[in-house]
Amino acid sequence: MSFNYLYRISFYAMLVSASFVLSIDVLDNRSAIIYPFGVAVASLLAFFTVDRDPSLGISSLLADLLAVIVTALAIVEWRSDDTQLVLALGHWLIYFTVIYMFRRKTASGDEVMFRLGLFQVLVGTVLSQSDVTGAMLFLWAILTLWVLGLMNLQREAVRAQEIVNVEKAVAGPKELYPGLLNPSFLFSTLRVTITTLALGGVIFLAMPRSLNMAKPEGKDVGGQHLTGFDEEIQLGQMGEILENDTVVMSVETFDEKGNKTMPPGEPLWRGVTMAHYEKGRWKRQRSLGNGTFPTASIRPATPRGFFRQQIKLEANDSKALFGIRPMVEVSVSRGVQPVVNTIDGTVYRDDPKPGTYDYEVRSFRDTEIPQPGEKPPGPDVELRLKEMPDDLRARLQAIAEEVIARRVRPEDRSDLRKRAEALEWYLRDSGTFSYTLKLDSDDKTIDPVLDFLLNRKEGHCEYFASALAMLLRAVEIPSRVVNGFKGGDWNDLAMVMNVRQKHAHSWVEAYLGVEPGPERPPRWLTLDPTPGNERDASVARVGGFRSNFRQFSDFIRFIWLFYVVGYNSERQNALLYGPIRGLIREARAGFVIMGQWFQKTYSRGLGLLHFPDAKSFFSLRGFLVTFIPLFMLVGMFRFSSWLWRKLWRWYRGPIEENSALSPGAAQYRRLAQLLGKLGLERPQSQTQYEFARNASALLSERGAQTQAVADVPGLVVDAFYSVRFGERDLPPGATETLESRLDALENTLNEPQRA
Amino acid sequence: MPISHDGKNHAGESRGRLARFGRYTLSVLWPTQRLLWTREGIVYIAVWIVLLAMGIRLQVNLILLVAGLAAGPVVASFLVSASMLRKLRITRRVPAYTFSGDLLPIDYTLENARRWTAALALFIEDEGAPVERLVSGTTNLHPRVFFARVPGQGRERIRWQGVSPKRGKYRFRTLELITRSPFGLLERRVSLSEPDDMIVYPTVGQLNRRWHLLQKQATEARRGQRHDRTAQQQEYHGLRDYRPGDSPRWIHWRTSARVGQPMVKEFEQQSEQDLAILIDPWLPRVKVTQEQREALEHAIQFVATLCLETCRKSGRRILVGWTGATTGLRQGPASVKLLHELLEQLAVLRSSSEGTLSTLLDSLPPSILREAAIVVVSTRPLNLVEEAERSRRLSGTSYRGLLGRVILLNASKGDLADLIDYHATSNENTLCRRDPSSVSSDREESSIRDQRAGARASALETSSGARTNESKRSLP
Repeated sequence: MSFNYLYRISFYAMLVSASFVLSIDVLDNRSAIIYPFGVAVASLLAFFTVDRDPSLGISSLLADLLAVIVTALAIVEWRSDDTQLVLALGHWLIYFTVIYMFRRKTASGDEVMFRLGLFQVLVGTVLSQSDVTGAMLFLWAILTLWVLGLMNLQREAVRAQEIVNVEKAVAGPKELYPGLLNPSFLFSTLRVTITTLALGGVIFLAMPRSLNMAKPEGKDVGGQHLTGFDEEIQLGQMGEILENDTVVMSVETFDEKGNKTMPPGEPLWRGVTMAHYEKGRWKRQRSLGNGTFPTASIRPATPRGFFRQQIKLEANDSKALFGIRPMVEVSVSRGVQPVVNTIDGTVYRDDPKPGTYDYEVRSFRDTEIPQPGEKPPGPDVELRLKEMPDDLRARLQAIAEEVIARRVRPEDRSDLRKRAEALEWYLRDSGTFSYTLKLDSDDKTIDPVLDFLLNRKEGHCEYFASALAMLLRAVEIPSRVVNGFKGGDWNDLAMVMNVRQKHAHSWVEAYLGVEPGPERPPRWLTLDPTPGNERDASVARVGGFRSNFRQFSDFIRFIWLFYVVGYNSERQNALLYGPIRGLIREARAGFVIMGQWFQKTYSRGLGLLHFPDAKSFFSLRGFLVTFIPLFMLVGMFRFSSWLWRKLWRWYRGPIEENSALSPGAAQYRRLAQLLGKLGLERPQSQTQYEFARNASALLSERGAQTQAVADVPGLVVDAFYSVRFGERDLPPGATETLESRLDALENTLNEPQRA
Repeated sequence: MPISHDGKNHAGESRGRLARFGRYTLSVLWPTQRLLWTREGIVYIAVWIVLLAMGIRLQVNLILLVAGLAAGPVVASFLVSASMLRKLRITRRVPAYTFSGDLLPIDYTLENARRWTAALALFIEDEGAPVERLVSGTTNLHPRVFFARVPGQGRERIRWQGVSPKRGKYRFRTLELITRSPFGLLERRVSLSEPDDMIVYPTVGQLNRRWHLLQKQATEARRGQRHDRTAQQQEYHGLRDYRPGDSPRWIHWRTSARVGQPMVKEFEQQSEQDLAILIDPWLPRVKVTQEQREALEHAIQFVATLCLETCRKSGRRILVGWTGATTGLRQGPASVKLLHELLEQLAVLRSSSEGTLSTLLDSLPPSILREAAIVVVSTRPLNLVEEAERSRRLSGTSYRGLLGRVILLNASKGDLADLIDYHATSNENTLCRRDPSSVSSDREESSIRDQRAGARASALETSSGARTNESKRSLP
């Protein structure tokens, strides 16, 4: 491929990728995605018109006119929607890029187009920080490095033609870099690209950061809708998200020392509670008692301590926050702090905003500890937590009592915990019920919970939880259904847990009364009636082929979320500056020890190396004690390298230096060496032609074997004269021909010796 | 000055050693590499600063990411550009001599010792400076060549051609290898110091018919006064290829018929009178006009031409003398070696406001004074009688004999303008010199005749190979 074509195609690909960065994730304007395709079409047109025939390029006047028109177009776009100023600016840049594409190409024009592409990317990063934008950004960066390299080659070739008296540029082929695109070039380019990207990454990580980095612009909250976390849900509705593989949140877990750990067991990320059940629908508790988490002084003491969850919640439309209960504290680094509902222990944030939501949860390791900040339910709330449809009560009570009678000894039947656990066992471990996401038959005439318990006997977590809650209420135990997530995909590389929609889960909390003591905190028992193994198998099936690369893709996602988009001063300190500071501290301590030893050992005798303060170091003595050792070091280095070279030459032995000879001369030298074997040496009085003629005559006379190569001296000398006196280069392939003929001569001359 | 017990000057030796050590120290410490921002690099940095400022101000991570990625090429340029220059070897081939005004070809060969990676878009900048500015308007040479691509384990030769500068000795000191790879933001220059000398001989022309007429008149004037050696033998000493310009009378027909191409006889002639060329490069101490300088150059060019044409044929003795604060002489049988010596001397000949012709005459050998043809070329009016009278060596009778053999030419009066043609020969000087393209360090190549140049080249070619300058510099 011609270098010019390669350069131009690469350039256009880079511009198209830049327009993709700008447009690929614009939520507010769905038509924006058309622009990159427009740029691609324009690139093709320009490639087959202006780039082939520069005379087809548009004139400066027309370009100016078009510039005015597209500016007006961008202004109109902005005026039609005031919130779209940044996007309109991006489109304006695209228009300009397209105009430049159809102008006659120059080095300065290419630079302008390059910068226009860069600014498009910049606008794109202001508009969106999604991982899709990130992927396009990465592609653009690679293409840009490739194009920068080619652009340099192009510029240098043009510069060479302008300023250098190049014989070959005048007479040689039009191809600037013949044979450029080969594996070694691609490999070295790849090497440079990786080096450059790595360096760029390090610089990015080292740039000054604040604790709270800015979020992208936009009026739309965007993100996903979390089914199951609304005010009211239909039983079975959660099945929709159980087959969804989208990430809801990424969680890093730390112990008290700040080390990353795995979350304990299979964590239950508690979200919202459902208190009122009616005709297959669950409703949230209406009375909200917003409060804050208790301060450290009134928190209950725990011997097992805390652990911390740093959660990055993907954009969604729910106000609920998730965490492992009992939560000691839920906080954000910037903005309005989350609040806890003192009635049901649910945690809420301020109104959802675009982008991810970062918050931190501290939880007790001891799950038996009551949730701090949650008050015991009052009589009315307790009554509501026992409510159930009358037609259900009698039938469910019969089932529950039968199970309790079967599982709980008579003397323990007053123990609420044991009664509740017996009902949990019935649903989870008795083997009567099984887990499925397929709910084909649905009898509308019967309550879904009753249908599940009596007829269907299979369902997903929502059915199990609802059934348990109803059974508990049937035996007068207050209960509520909790919706949240259970477990997640643990990534070993990133040490992070990605919780997806498929991990959504329902379980039950049974109220067992209040703890003894002055605070009288409520005692809630968490019960999970869903068969664990069957659920796990079902969750594992969701995701299909992609789940095979889960470790890798989650790791990339983690990097993107935590170390690109969500990279802040805290992470910077933990990743970069903290370790560096530590290293410096250790090095400084080491140097101090070394310095003390050095001073103790030597300065007593010399007194030369002792500098009482920094000022005294900047003196003639300071100069000498630094310069002389350094100079000696350089000298030693030079000497050792010289010695090494000597030894190497001695070991290698003398080599004949032929490389400086030009083509033609090298062949002539070889000819002379070969003929020397025949005892033919050119006297000073002979010209090369004469010598060749004599040699040819001799070869002809020696017999038929050598006669075949008698023409070789003449051929070589012709080439030699052509190069030396004719100032001509040998035609392509001539050197190879001469070498092959010389090989033939050598073989012929060696024949008798072998014989 | 301290003198040691053995009487040798050890102080001078130690000073020399000290100077060498100082030079070595300086060369070790002196940086050989430079990094310069290119115009594109400056614009790039300006854009990058804007990006960075925007990213830090807005605290948007993706803007900072773009800024970080944009900084990558700058930092990579520092590191990668150095590797782009590794394992490269440059060979410079400068002709040992050239004639002023002729085309000057300099060959640069770039060898890439890397196994795979090609050397891409490399410039070589060279500089040749006069050792001493003898002629006004002398300028430095700035050859610059571009190597587009030299594959791994490959080599490429590129010839730079320019016009040879004014006469004098030129020294090529530094050779700079320049790369802007990989992104064109920074320019890395590696200076390689390897002195190469080149002598630029004065421009030579072609003596025309007027000169030959003048010479003939002078010869006729001295007939009868000298020993006639016209009958001396012409020694036939070999055969060689025919070259353009050879007289058809020299063709050896029988050999030509045998080998199928014209062959000519070579003679060693000893038939002509010895020639002494005396040049008086006088210029006033102050207020030197441009015309006077030009006259001096014309005088030197005329003498160079005369030397060249005389040396074309062997057998004749030639002497060149010059006036000055100290007079100088070069003499010997016409030969290539002598011709080079004479041209080199003329190349570096300095003007002088001192010295007289009479002093020069005093230093001439008696045989020259007695019977050689003498050409005096001066830049000022000379009275030969007065100069002869002033001479201590010439008696009354001998100087009268001398005057009959002298051709006196005053360059400042334009005496030389009619005797020599330049226009036809300025580029044809290649005929009179070894073609630079035949430069070779190979001993075998040294005697190769310049086919293009033809017969007139033969005189200079024989020793050309040994006089080729070639310097190689490798990068680690």
